[in-house]
Parts: sequence; structure tokens; C-alpha cells
Amino acid sequence: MSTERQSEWRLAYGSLDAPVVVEVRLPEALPVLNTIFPEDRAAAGDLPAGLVVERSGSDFELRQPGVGTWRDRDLWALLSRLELVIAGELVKNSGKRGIHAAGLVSPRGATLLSGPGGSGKSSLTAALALRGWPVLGDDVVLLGAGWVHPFRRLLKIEEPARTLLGLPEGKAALKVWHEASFYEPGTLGSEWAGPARVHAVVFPRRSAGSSPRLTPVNTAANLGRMLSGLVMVDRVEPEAFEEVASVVECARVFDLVYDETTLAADLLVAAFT
Amino acid sequence: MDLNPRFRPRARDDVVFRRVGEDWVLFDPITQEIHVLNLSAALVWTFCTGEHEIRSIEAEVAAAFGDVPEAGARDAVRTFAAAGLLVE
Repeated sequence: MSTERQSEWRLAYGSLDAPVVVEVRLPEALPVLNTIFPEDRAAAGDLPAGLVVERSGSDFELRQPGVGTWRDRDLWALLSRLELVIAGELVKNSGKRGIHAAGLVSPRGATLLSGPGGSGKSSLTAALALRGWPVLGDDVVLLGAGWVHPFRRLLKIEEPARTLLGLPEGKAALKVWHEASFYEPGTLGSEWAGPARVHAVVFPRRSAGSSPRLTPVNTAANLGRMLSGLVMVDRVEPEAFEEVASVVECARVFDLVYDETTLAADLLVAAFT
Repeated sequence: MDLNPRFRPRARDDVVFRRVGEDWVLFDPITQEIHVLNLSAALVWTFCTGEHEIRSIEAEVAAAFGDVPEAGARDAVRTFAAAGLLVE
């Protein structure tokens, strides 16, 4: 995921030996993609495009050969899907398993924050990065051979979390892009983490008015919640089960109920330092 | 379900059995279910090879866990069977 190559309309993401090549025939999509996947760029040369985005009559169209074609009148909805497809392809090309979870490295090892959209993974990631924890990812991390590996995309912080965390206005793809600001961990005083062993898995859940509360839960009984976060997996194969189990087998698992992100981050720092 | 004491339970080959934390778990790739086992049930599972009759499994478990009723092993096998984890 360290190299991105670009010709005028052709973007190649990921490693040189397994790039994800996107033919982008929509000028307005380029700044969005360049913000979300901001790595170094070079000419994609004559690599065949695995994905094509273009205008189709009054609609916008995303084609993924061998997989399908999506049309939408809303460019931003289509770009949102494109973002997910590119991320999914990058995960697949990494040779590791992707799991929907934020990840940071505490002094005791990696802490995964696992939960659905809206549970506060990205905001907690930003708050913990501000407290110096190196970042593995704010939405997806990679699992391989018992380790958690980083999935480097800019941290995407939406309002009102950005204001509540006191973050400066970050790099914005376009104002309409989910009103999100994008941050490198370095801008938050942190850094990208290297591979780490998991120390804790936390399932955050927002509850209005709640003081942050961290409750230990049984690891085995909550394995299913982790498995449900595997990226691009309809059915969990035994190998995927083994991978997830081997990553979390020595981890402590907690439910985190909270309201204010900063207080929850303070609690996690106190608990895992 | 009544179990013949001479029944020799055999685990399905595709069911994953492993330790996670302080527990033992079974993962059924067909139903996608995870079953968390206590230690005596985990021991029973290891005897589900098709070679051991239930009565001998009961004896083994009773020897390992002196304070556990022998029926515990039979209940575990019954649970495994009901969950479709054994070869029929």
C-alpha cells in the first residue's frame, strides 16, 4: 500500500506487484481519490484497469470487470462505493485478512476498537492519537499470522467529532464529501504503527449521558462479533476463523459504554498504560 | 434424545476446535456458529473420534473430574449431536 501511480486518468493504488488500477474518467472524482488515498503517485503505464469510473448518460457508473456494474445519479454515493471497493481490493491484494476495526498501539500492545459505523471508532482513534498512541487504522486493520498490521488511509473525522475533539480543519476532499476532514496521524501528534500483537479488543457503544465504563467480557463468547467484521467475507471459512482466533486468543475483551469521546479516551489510556 | 451407551460419537472433520482465552470453542463452518465449551465438554469432544463408546467417555470424564456427574458427558454428547456437530 505504499505506492500509488497515476497517469492522466489512470490511478494505480497499492504495491507494485499487485496494484489496484482505476480508470477515472470523471475529473471531479480525482481530488476525492487523491485525498483519501494520498500516497506517492507515478505513471500507471499500460496496466489494465480493474475498475472504471465514468459518466453514463445522466448517471455515473462504476464497473468492476467480473464483479458487476453500479450506476447512481448521485456522484458522491458512487464515489463512496468506489472508496469501499478500492479498500476491499487493497485488502485482498495485501494477502492478509481485513477486519472492520480501528487499531492503535498502547504501551501493552495493540488495542482494537470493533463496532459498527457510528460507534465512534474514528473519533476514538483521533482522540487516542492525540494522546500519543500510534495508529494502525481508523476503520480497517489487517490480520496476518497472529499480528495486526496497519491499513494506511487518512483518518476520516466527521462533524461534530472534529469540533468536539478540538481538531484543526483537516484536509478536505470536497466540502460535500460527508463533511469529513482527513488527517495523517502525524498531524495529531502520533504516527503510523508497525505490526503488533493484540492486547485488548474493545467494543465501543455510545449512550447519551453515560460516564465511560469499561466492562470485561468473555473472549470466546465475543469471537462472533469480531468475525462479523471481516472485510469482503460472506461466509467465514475455517482458515479465517483460525486467523481471527489466533489474533485475539490472548487478548482481553471489553465493552465500552460512553458518551464523551475525550473521557472515553482518557479511560482507555488509564486502563491500558 | 436417548443415547445408547454403546454409541460411538464421531466429530465432523470440518468443525474447528481450539482454545481461545480461557475457554475452548467449536466453530461450525456450515452453520457459522461458535460453541463455547467448558473444560469437561472440551474433554468429551476430544473423545468423539468414533472409537470410544459413550460409557467409556463417561468413565474418562468422571476420572478426570471426580466431582462431575457422569451424566455430564452424556449431556455434552447429546448437545453436540443436537447441534449437528457429529457425523450421523
